[in-house]
Amino acid sequence: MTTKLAWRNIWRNKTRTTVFLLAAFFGFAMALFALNLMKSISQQRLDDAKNLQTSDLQIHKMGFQDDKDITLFIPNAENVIQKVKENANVDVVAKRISTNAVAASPENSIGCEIKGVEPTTEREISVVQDFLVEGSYLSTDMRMPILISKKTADKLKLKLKSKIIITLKNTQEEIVGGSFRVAGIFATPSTPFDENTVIVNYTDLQELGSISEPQEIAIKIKDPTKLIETQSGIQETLSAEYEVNNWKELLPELNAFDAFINMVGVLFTIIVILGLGFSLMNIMNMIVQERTHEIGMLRAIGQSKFKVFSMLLNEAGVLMMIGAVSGILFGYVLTLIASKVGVPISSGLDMLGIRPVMYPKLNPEIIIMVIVIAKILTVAIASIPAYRAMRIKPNY
Amino acid sequence: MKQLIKLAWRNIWRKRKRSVIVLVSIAFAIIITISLRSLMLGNGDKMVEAGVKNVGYIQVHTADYWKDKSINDLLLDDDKLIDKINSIEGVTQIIPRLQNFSLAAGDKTSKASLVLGIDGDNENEFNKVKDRIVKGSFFTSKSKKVVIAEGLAKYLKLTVGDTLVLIGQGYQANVAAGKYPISGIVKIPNPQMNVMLVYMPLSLAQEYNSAFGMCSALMLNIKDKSQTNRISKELKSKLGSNYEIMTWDEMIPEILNGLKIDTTVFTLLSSCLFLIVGFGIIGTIIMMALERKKEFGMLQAIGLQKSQIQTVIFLESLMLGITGIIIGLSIAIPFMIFMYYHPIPLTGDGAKSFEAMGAEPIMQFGIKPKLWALMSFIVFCIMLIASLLPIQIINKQKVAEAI
Repeated sequence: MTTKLAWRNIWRNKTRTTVFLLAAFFGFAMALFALNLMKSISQQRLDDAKNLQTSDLQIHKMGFQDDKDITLFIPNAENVIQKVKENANVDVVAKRISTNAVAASPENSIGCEIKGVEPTTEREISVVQDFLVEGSYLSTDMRMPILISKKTADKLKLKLKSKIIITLKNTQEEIVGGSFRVAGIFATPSTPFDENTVIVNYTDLQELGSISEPQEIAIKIKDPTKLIETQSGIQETLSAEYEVNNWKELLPELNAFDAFINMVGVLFTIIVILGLGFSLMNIMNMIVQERTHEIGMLRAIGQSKFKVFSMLLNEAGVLMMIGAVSGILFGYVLTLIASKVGVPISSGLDMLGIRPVMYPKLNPEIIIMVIVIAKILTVAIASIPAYRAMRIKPNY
Repeated sequence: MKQLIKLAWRNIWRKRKRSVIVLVSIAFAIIITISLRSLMLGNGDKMVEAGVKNVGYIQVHTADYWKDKSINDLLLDDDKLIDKINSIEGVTQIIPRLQNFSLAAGDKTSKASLVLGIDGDNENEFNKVKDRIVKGSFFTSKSKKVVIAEGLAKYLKLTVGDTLVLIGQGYQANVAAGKYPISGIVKIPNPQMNVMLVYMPLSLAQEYNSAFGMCSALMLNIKDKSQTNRISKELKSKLGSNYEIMTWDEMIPEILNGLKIDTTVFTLLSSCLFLIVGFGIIGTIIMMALERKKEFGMLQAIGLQKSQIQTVIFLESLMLGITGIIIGLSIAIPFMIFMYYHPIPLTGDGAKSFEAMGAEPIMQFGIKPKLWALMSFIVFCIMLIASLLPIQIINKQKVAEAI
C-alpha cells in the first residue's frame, strides 16, 4: 500500500521529482567523474615514475645493486628470459646493460647511469618516448645515438646531434670511451631519472664495454595486483644467484609517495561524499517541509506514523535509485568521453616533464565505491527527512 | 522598498525550518569547499617547506655564481655585508655555506662528491640537519672532522672513525687535499645527494679550499614566506649588481612546477565539487519557491506587482545567502585554524614519504584568507544564480492557477 502511494506521489508532482532527480543525477555523475579523474591522475604519475625508473620487476645478479659493477652481469641471460616468459602474468621482458659511466662534453662532465636497451622491446616497457622534447627515439639512421635528459643537456651544454663522450669501465676492468651523438632529449616527471640516466642502443654499448650478457632484466606484468606472487614465482624458478626485486623495494620513496597520495584520495572522497550527501539531504528536507500540510492530512485521516515514514522512505529510496543509477551511468559516459578526448592539465603552463593532457582510465574500484556510497546515502537521505516527517502532528 | 525589505525579513522568520535548511546548505557548501582547498594548500606548503630546507628562502651569491657554481666565485663573509642584509626587515637568520666538488676516496673506491662547509649550529637551527644523523655524531664547529651521507659511506665502504680522503681544486686553483676522520653519517632525503654529500665545518672547509673568510652562498631564513619577493627586491637594490640574489623558486623550479600541476588538478576537482554542492543549493531554492507558489499567487491577487514579489524573493535570497556564508565561515575558519595547529598525523608508508622529503609526517591544512574570500564569492554567485529560478517561476505563473 505505502509503496503504491509512494510511486504515485513521485509522479504526481513532476517538478519536485525532476528537481531532486537532476541534483542526484549531476551529483553522482560529477562525483564519479571527479573521483575517477583524481585516481587516474595519481595512478598515471605513479606508473610513469615506475615505468621510467624500474618497471614492475627487475632481475639482477646478487650484489649488482650495491654499486652497479659492470662485471656482475646476469649469467645465461637468454635462458633466464625464457624462464621468466613462462610465467603467466608476465607481459614484456626486456634486457638492459646498466652501469655507471661518466658523460662528458667539451664544457663539462657528469657521472651518470648508462642504460643499453633494445629499442623495440624497451618502447613497450618504458615510457621515455612519451616525454621526448626534442629529436626522436633511438633511431637506426644515426650511428651511436644517445638519449639524454634536458637537465643533462643543459649541464653539458649539448644540443641535438652534439657529440658526447661516454667513459666507463669494461668487463675486463679497463677504462674505455666512446663517442655518441644526441638523438633525442627527454624531460620526464621523474627528477631522479632525469638527473642520472642516459640511454643508448644495446648493441652499441655491448661493443663499447665488451659485454656479452646484460646486467638487468626488466619485467612488465599484466596484472599489477599480483606483483608479489609473480615476483616469488619467478624467484622460485631461478637459483639464488639471481635477485628478483619489485619496484616497491627498488623505489621506496615512490612507494611511500603512492601511500601518501592514496591518503589524500581518501580525504577527497570523504569530502565529496559529505558534499553530495548533504546537498541531496537538504533538498529532501525541503521536499518534506513543503509537504507538511499533506502529511498532516494523511495523519488526520488515520494513517499511522509508521506508514507515513515508510511511504516517504519508499519515495526517497526510489528517487535516489533512479538518480544515482542514471547519474553513475552518465558519469561513466563522461569518463569514457574524457578518456578519448582527454582532459587538459597543464595547457598554458608551458612545463616540461608532465603529460599535458590526461586520458582518465575507468577504474572499476571507483565505480564500485560510488555504488556503495550511493547505497549508504540512499538510506541516510531517505530515513532522516522521513523521520522528521513522522513527528509532524496531524493538527498542524 | 522599505516595505519589501520588511516583508522579506518577515518571510525568513515566518518559516524558520525552511530558512534553516537553506542556511545549512549554503554554510555546508562553504565548509566543504574551504576544507578541500585548505588541504591542498597545506600540502603545497609542505612541499615548499621540504625544498626550502635545503636551499633557504633566499640566497645571496657573488654575481653569476649559480650558473657554474664555481669555487672561484666566492663572497667575502664580512660583517659589513651581514649588517646590510640584517638591516632588511623580516630576515631572521643568515646561514653561510661554502660548497665545492671534490673527489672523495675510501680504501679502494673513489667518487665525485659535494663538499659542503656549514656552520653546524646555525644550519641546524634552520633545517635540523643534526637530526638526520644515523650513526656517530655531528661535528662541532672547531673540529677537524667530517660527516658524510649514508649512500656515499656505503659506496666508499667507510664508517664512523674511518678516514675520508678528499682531493680537488680549491680557490684560485690552489690544490685542495686533506684527510679527515668521519665523525658521523647522515641520511639525506634526496637520493642524488645521499650518494655525494660531505658535510664539513665551515672553517675547515675554508681551510681545505684555501678560501679563508669566504663562502659561496649566504642562505637566508625569513619570518614570513609571503615576503620572499619583497625582501629579495630590497636586497637587490641594497647590495647592487655585484651580488646575485635568488629566491627558492628560482633555485628549485621543480617544486614550483609541482605546485602548478597540483593547483590545476585541484582546481579541476574542486570545480566538480562546486557543481555537486551548487546543485544542492539550487535544488533547495527551487523547492522553496515551488512550495510557495500559492503564496505568490495570493500576493499577486491582493495587488502586488510581479516585480515586487520578485524583489522580495531576491532580497530573501540575498539575506539568506549572506547569513549562510557568514555561518559557514564562522564554522570553517575556526575549524581550519584548529586543524592548522592540530594537523592529522600520518602513519605507515605515507609518513615515510614525508620523511623522505625531509618534512614532518603530518597532513597539514593551509590558511589563506584570500582563498576563503574566493570560496565565499563563488558560493554567493551560486546563490544568486539559484535565486534567478524562483524569479523565473513567478514570471511564468498565472494568478488563477496558483491559487
